[in-house]
Amino acid sequence: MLKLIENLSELKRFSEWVDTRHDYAQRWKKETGGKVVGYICTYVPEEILYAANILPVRILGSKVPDSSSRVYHHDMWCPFSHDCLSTALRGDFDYLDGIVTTLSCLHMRQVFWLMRDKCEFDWSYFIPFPHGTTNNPYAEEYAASELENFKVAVEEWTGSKITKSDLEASIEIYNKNRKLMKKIYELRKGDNPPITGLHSMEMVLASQLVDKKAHNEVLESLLEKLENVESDREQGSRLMLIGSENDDRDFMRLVEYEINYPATFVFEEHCTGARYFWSQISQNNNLVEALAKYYVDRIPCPSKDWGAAEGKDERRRFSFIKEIAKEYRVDGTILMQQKFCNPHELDIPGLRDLFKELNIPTYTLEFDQTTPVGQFSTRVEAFLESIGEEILF
Amino acid sequence: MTEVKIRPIKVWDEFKKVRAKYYKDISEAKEKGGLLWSGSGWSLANIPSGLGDDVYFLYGEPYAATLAWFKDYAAESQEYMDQIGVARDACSYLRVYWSSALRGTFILTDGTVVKYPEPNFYWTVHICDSHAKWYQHIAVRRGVPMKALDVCVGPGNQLNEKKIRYVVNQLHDSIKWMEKVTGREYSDELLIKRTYQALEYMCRWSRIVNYNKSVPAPIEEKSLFSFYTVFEGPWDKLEKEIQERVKKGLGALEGVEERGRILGDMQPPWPVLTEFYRYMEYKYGVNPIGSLYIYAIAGAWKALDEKGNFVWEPVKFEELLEKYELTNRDEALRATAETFLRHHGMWQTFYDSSFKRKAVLSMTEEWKADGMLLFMNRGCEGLAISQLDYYHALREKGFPVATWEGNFADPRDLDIPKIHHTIDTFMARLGINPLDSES
Repeated sequence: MLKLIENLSELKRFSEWVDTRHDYAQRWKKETGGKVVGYICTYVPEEILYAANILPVRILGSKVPDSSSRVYHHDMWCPFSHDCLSTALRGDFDYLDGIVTTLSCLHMRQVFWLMRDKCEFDWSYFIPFPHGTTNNPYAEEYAASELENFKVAVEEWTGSKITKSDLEASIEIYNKNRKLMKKIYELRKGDNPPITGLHSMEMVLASQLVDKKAHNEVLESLLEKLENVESDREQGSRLMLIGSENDDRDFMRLVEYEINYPATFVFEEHCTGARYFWSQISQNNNLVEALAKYYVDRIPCPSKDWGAAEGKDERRRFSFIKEIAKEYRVDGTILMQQKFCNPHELDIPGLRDLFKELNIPTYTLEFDQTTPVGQFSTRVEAFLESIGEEILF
Repeated sequence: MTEVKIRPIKVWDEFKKVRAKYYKDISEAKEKGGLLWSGSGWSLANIPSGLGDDVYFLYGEPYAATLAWFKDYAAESQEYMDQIGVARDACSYLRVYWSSALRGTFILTDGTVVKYPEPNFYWTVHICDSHAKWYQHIAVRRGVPMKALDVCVGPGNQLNEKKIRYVVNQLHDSIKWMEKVTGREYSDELLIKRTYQALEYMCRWSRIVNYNKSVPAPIEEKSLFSFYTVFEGPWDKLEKEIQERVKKGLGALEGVEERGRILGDMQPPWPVLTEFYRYMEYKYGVNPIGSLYIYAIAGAWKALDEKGNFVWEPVKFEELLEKYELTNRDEALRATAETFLRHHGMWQTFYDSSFKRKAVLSMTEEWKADGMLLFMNRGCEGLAISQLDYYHALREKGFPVATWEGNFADPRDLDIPKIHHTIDTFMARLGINPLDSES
């Protein structure tokens, strides 16, 4: 019997995991006796932590207005970094045993330093991961040496060696997670995608917050069910979401469920979307080198995508976006600009050029700590109307 | 009424001529058969100079500062960027530079506007979030080749062979790439000569600002800004003049004893440079003796020790000569990479907030400052990093500190009466009355 997507327990589970992430991590810690480490940037090789029986959880904000971070963190730093920091300063991350980051953007680096200095975690580590990963032939080798140092630091902290088979098993679980999420994303290529952008955002967010093994089980079950479900909503315009870090579920809900024009996000290109999981780690003899290759070659964050341009655009991310826009038959693109996110906003002029060339309309929205629902609904409705969508009622 | 004047620097006119000529040369480089490249001011200019004696460079930040100094042109540039939808909060230097390149205009030091000189290539170090993205976009738009250098390796006190080699390898690649895009043969001999000059320049700059530790300080900050980007000026003469002042106990201000020593932290507000500095000097007789920026941006310092403390001691050029014997390309590249990674003061601050905090705290002692004015500069995220961290550290130490806000390259975002009000309040807190009130 066909079921309605909204009633799938797996989707509800993702949503619940995101809502109760702190409880989940503390429960996990109690049940397994393992450590929990917060990571600030998705370039952190979670696999190494997981291989050491550590639960890596992404540091995310709470979408709650809170000015406590303003005392330490410049007003012109992005709202996401403020949100993460104020959440930490409130004590919501006190259960963490440690924090780790890589050389990410300046704002998140600052969050790492402040969390380290103000929250007194047992352990912290900063990985000087290559900053320029596009067209940089030396990045992989250098990244491998820094990841090796990181592995040793984790071993020293936990007091136990990470064996080759530990790391192999961890990579396998992570690869499986990536593969399953990609499969689900691929179902969205067709007409009337079985899941919405909100569902997929919650799926990816949950994977950054819970044990990958548990997440994989739910993903497998969801994949089976998705063949036998139907959507009770009109697809409307097929939208692509492009951004830096975005976990604004309110916005997804607004666009897909609450405004007067039908629309569905068919793809999210940001680090809480496809950039987090799109490719696989090729296991070879040297697993740390394999990890380095994966993280250097992944779809880059705008802050790391600055390869050489021989008079033409060679941003690796742009080629990916171009391909996806065609494959997923995108009608319009929303450029979700995290206010003050320099790396992303400096890609926006190039992205506008790219979509102009593809003849796909784009619309830029600037995001803050909370979502201005009224203003955004008017603006997104106007955008949908301009790309030819007709009102629902 | 006490009349305060800035003690004139005899050699200034010579510097001014060199700088004016340099910008003119940039605008005419290609017409005359030379090469022009552009990139961040953090880039290692000695590397492209191996392409010939007729290679000129347009450093993005110093050019943007020059541009910002011309208020009307800067305002017009900023408005153009607003119109074409470039984020208002993006690096303000980048915005005015993009405007110059996209509109195809270039401003000389006398304010003459000429055609934007298209570089042969863009080559840049990337240390803040904007650097490579800055030249990437403009290179694509103008169809010019571009390459960036990754210096992610971490602070000077954690360097090892692998880290240095990572940067050196990229430099080797960069040279091959430059040969390819320019069609020129690279001269290692020239590279070696320019490398020695670059290292000497860095050592000299730290020596020059180090003289300001003397009381009274021989030079004020506005003048320091006029000199530091002129790489091939009459530096010997300048240094001698400053040494002479120190020897004779002559301060930067004439007509008044140094009544206070004020430090800053960031780049200055270029469109209102005079209104900012001269207000303090003329009204209060205090000397803005420098800033973290002007001390650390161009000099070679001992910098971080093993414990991560910042050592404000200039590196001696003789020490570098002893350490590096440059006989081939690799040695020159290695000396360049290691010196910048280890001794460039400002570079260190991007790797940990504690380094910047310690640098600022010890700077206030070393330069015997009375107070510090922090510029919450909305135009530069890179150097604003850790600003509130050291603000709190200074307060905890009981060191007088005040903040003011604006945008260093956007005249629309610099409120002079408000800035003056902040200075007045800060002086009152320091117990320094206006000169007029005491005459």
